[in-house]
Amino acid sequence: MKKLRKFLLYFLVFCIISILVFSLSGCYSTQSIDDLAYVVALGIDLGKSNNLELTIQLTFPNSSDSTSTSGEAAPTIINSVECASINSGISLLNSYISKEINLSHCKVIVFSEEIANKGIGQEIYTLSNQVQIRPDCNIIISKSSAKEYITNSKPELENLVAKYYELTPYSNQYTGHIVNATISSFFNSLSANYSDPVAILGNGNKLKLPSSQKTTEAEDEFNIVAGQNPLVTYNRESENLGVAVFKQDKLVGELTALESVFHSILTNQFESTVISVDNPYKENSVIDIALYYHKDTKMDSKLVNGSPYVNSKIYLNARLLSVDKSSESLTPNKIKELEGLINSYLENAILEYQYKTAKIFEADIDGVGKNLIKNFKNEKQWSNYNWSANYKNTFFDVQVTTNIKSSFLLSS
Amino acid sequence: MNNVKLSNLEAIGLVLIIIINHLILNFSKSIISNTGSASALNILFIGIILLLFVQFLIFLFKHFSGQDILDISEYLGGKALKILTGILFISYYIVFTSILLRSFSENLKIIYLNKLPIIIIVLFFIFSITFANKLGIKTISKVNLLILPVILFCIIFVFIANIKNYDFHGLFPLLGSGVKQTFIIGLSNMFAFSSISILYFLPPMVRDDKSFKKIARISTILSVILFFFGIVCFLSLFPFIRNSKEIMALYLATRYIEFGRFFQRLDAIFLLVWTVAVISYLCVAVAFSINIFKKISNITDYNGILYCFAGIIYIISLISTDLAQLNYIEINIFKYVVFILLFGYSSLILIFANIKKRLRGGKNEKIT
Repeated sequence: MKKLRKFLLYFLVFCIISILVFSLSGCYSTQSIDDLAYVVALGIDLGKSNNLELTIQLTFPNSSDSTSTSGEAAPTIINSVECASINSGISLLNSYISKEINLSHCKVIVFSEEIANKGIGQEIYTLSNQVQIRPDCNIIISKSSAKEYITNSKPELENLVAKYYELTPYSNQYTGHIVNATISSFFNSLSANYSDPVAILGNGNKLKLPSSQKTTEAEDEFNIVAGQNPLVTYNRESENLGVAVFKQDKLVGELTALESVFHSILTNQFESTVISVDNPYKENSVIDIALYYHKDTKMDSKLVNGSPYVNSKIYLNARLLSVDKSSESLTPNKIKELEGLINSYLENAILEYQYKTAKIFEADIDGVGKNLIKNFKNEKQWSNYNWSANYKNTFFDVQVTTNIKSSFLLSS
Repeated sequence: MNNVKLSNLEAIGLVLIIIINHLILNFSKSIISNTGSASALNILFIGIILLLFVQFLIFLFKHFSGQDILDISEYLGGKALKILTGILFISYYIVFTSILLRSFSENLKIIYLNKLPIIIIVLFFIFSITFANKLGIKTISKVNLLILPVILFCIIFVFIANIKNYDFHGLFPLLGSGVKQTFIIGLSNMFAFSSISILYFLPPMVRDDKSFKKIARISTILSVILFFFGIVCFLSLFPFIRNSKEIMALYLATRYIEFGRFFQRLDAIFLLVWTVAVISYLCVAVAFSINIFKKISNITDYNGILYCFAGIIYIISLISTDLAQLNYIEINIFKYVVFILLFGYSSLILIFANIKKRLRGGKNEKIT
């Protein structure tokens, strides 16, 4: 006990001295935040004279201090370099700018569609291996160049571009039109032998759609991807909408905003969205329905005659958003009918989506493989089955159970 | 130091701090690369075998009340065998303590201290070991008991805070690389429970046989539980863990912890706690080495030996040039040394000593 007391005394003295030493003197060799240049976005394009074109967006020093006028977006600096790899690019940029580049506040990594088509495995492994890059850093695949996407990403409602990048993916909670694809989830799917990764689909240059391509059907309103958002007035040219689908490390396709909702439902990331279905009680009119998470989707996968068979049971809550005079006649029987209508609409749409991922993309982005793997005794059997090549042979079945809870202020 | 008596909790704490460090220093990686997705099943299996082995040890120690493996070696083969056993255990503690120290220092260097030379990082730990060991094993075990709840809380916190990130499909296929790999070749994963080495030296340090039995059983059960949950956590969090050579998996798990957008990046706090845990572990290992040396050499002042051991640990830890060498030693050498020394050599000594005792008249024989 005496020795313990002595030890605790020594320990206390040691702590006090340490605190005094570090608080009363400057750490002469340690870097302070003034010596670092914080990257908020990293863009990777195919280079013209070299492998890559690396773009970094840096926050302007002291951009968030109290002297900046409120409402005015803080300035950022964008620099690009042609390089052989990400690390050599950062090194080249380090020799150009006056401070050391630090990636610990990097919110998004943008890849151009062009480079994603060729495969981004090496870049993802490099970035995942960086201690500074956080696992929650988002991955965006831009239909335009990554540099264009970053240049045109000008926050409208925030002063700080870092906050804009951080908040944008959260829109998946109330729209479901994008996914919150982080570098950790991308890397996990890439390194597992039972799933394929997805990323947020972005676009840095607003597409001007010819009028013939513009959708007029209400049910197709959300069958659009980044760049096709029918915005009439807009200041910012960059946008995120839809999902980029990968087969291992190569981009193989895109999911529309509506398909992104189905992906979220099947992977249990869904929170809420709004869909429109044809009104069965009134011609040329639609019913808007807000869908909410109810229970986790139950996915049951098994092998039937050597082919994978997947049965998904989806549970959703719904609220009717469209109310008009005819709503007064919405009796319990009609609500049941409406539930049936929503169920069959969703079942058909989700089946179509699942077959699209299997037959067209051949990419298991919904985690079918990880459900199926339990049917195999050991890893050898699983690797011999060659899931990557067999996913296209999968048969799907979907049962949707929607409960219409009520409407909002005015109800039937 | 030989007359030091530890309470049951202090003794359990000494065993647990070793197993915690094995978890921190990524021994789970070696287990997972050996048995793949069946690692959780494998841990349960070897956990049962380990419990049976510990029960067997308790039985073998029953006839040698209050005596450790050194006393029993002396009884079996005289002073020579006692010295041989002592040197083997000292070498085991010193060499592997050095390697684990270097391994943790390298990890610290990769994560935060990338500009600090490795010799400085290692030196920081060496100072701590030397300073703490001057106060004796009783103080070390008491301080260890003081910090153990904090370390355990942090580990359990990491497991719980990651619940939303778990994907238990990572535990499939249930039999991993096959039945043979899981249940026969997978037996080599028992090296992760090398903390039982402490049990060979505990009998004279605890109150009585009853306490020893209690300590041995409880510490083994807690070690198995801790490792089981660690393996389940890592397999469910990281699909890449089966194929890659990542650094501390427990640290990677802390990077995933976030509570909303405001409470993120908690990993620095955990790294501080892991550092304290490693220091405590190193202190325990050195204290036992000194204890063994004192017993085989009959010296009274152990200060000189302490500085000597600290110097040897410092030098050995700086021998390997990179992490790849350290991983190779951990996976290919440590495994077999643990098996031969802890499960083979030591239990053989106990078995033969028991036979000798029975031949010489059993319980009635007096041992000096």
